[in-house]
Amino acid sequence: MQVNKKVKLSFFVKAVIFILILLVADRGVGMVMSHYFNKMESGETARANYSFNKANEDVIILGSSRAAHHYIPELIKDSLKASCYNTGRDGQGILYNCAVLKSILKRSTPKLVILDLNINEFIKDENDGYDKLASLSPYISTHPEIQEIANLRGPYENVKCISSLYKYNSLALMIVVNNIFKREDGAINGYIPLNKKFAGTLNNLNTTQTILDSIKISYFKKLIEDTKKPNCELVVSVSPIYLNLNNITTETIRIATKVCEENNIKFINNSQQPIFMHSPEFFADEYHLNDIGAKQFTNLLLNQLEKRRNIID
Amino acid sequence: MLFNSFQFLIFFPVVTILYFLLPQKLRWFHLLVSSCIFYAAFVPIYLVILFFTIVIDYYAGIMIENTPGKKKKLFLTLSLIANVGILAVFKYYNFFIDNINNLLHSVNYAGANLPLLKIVLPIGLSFHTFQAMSYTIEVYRGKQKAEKHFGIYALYVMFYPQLVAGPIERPQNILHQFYEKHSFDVERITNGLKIMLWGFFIKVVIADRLAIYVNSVYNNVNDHNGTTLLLATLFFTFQIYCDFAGYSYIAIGCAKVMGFDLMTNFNRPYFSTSVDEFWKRWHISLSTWFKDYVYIPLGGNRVTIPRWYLNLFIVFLISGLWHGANWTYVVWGAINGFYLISAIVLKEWRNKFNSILRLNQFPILFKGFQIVTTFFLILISWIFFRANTIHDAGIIIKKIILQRGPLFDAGNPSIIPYSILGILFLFVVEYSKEYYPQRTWGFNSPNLYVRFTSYVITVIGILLFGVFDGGQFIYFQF
Repeated sequence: MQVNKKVKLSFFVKAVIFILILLVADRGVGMVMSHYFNKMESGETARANYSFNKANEDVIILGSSRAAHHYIPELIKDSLKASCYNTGRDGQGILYNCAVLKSILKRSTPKLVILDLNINEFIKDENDGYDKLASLSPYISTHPEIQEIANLRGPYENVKCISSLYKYNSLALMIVVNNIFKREDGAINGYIPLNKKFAGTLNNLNTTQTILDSIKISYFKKLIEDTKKPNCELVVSVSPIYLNLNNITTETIRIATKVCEENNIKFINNSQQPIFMHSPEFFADEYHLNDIGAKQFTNLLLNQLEKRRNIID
Repeated sequence: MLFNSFQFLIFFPVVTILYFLLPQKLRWFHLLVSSCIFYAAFVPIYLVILFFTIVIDYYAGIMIENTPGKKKKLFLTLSLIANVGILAVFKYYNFFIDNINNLLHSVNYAGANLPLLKIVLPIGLSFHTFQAMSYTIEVYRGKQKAEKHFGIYALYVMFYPQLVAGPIERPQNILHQFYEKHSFDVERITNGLKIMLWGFFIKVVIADRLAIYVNSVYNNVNDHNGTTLLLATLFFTFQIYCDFAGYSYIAIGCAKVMGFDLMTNFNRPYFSTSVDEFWKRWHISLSTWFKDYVYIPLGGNRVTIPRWYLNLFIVFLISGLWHGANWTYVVWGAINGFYLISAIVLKEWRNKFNSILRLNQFPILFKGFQIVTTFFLILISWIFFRANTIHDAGIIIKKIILQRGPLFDAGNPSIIPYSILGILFLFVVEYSKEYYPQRTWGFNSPNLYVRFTSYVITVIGILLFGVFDGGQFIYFQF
């Protein structure tokens, strides 16, 4: 019996030691991951690091890959005489954009925020849920203001994020590779030029019945609220797309128009702008403008914002 | 409740600690309630269906034992009809109606539109139905005494580690274990936890990572070239193994911690040197179930040769259908049946071929050749298992043979490297277990520091490389 008790005690002691070692390893390896994660100098993650940790330009562009490829900060800077950074990120939507804006607003107030919306921004993503919000995990510890959005990823997300390693889940290989091979992707202040020319024909947008995501709509409204600060203007923009909507107003555009009207926010819909609909040479693919198209579009948008030029003064 | 969910991380230690704190006479009740909670976490109404089958089989078992003569068979038949009936309604009704509707439409029968049922397949129905049928059959055969304790019988069907995806247990193996007192045995608990840890690793780090690529390719076969489809098929071959074996390891480990021994379900099947051997190493609990309750009653191989082949083919067709209500699974089963029959038919020719080439003089090379050949035969059959339709499977095979192109990266360049690294790691571990079982390293090292380091590295691996969207186990859909 004594031996049995000793064996059980030894087991519990070893279990406690194992858990302690695990905690130390989690923190230790997590610190190493964090160091090299923040050390990256180029690529999508480096840009995201800048967006969350440092961006404080006068003009901030928010959006997905369409924002990243469509809005040229250099042209905006020259026209509005204001610094500009494009935080657009491939595969990300309104929830991510809200998180980026929250982190920027903690340290500065941009004079102009341009939010690029996709034409189906508010549609529920049945395949992915909110798993793309995993990209927020590395920033939670230094940006607690985005925890609420990160928690949308799933239940117990805030508990899981106690683990330093969990925050860098699926990022280890990318961190190693990007620190060893510093590859440039040609980004300038967040804008990524595309050089391909689309060779396809104009197709119709697939308008199968889809379900609206009320959480995305609610965060769109929250983003509007967040920009209601002195000397901060929000412009909601829908950039060109090489798909024929056939005069259909998508639910996203309908809702965005209504919400912007209610909040006196300028809403500019260039999704079916004729100059782009007749010019496939401006596009790299159906959803993205190439560099030539981006220049056309940015200048067009700046003309449309001409009345707003004085906001930067 | 999924094993790879946060809820299970709380559920398992609480249930296990309570199990050891409770007196023996209450343990069965505690496990039964815990199993109900575990199952109800999916959809609570499923419990009603489960309860229905438990009641029928409990009383059927007692009636079979207490009824003399030929009337026994009546109760067995009723029990089997009830179990198969439930399976037929929930799993196959819509499949058959769909096919009847398609047939009637093809002959332009106006107004042919038999209604489909709007019902959801209860999780793990195929598994616990088979386990329940195993009980009444064994009682009928006189190999198992009818269980008089309703709670213990209910626990036999509902024991949560193996409730939703096996291993499909036999009553002789497990029923008596519910009466045995299981003490707090440190070595057994440690072994159980190690098995669980390995199961979690291969499920969330390897299987779920591979699934990202496989799903994005197989759900859009028209958009991908043959090279990508071949890689996705190769990935699926390991995904399904790691997913299902991972679940089995977690189930076996979880049960072992509490003192229950479940049967081995996988035995490194991809090291098989023949399809016949593969089916002795893959999903062992199901293949032995089919052998004992379908193949042998049909006559097995103690019949004429054509009848023997037919028996094999029937077993694999039924096995295919068991896996899902889709013709792809039936074809998958047929392909495996064809492989087995071909192996028997061609046995003499293969032996002659081997002796001409003197392959027995190069045993290692020959074994390697057999393993690789078996692997690719199984890989081809997995195309049908995973494809959404027969038509898709045809496109996949055609493109793999005829079409080359650049590899698709699923929108994330790290997916393929991660997946390949996972497979390589799995290969190293499995190779070591297969060919050097006496070597003790990693989890089984005699050195405490090495063992601890292995555990820590595995957990770090799970946290850093695991996929945590709570991805469902493939076999849950069966």
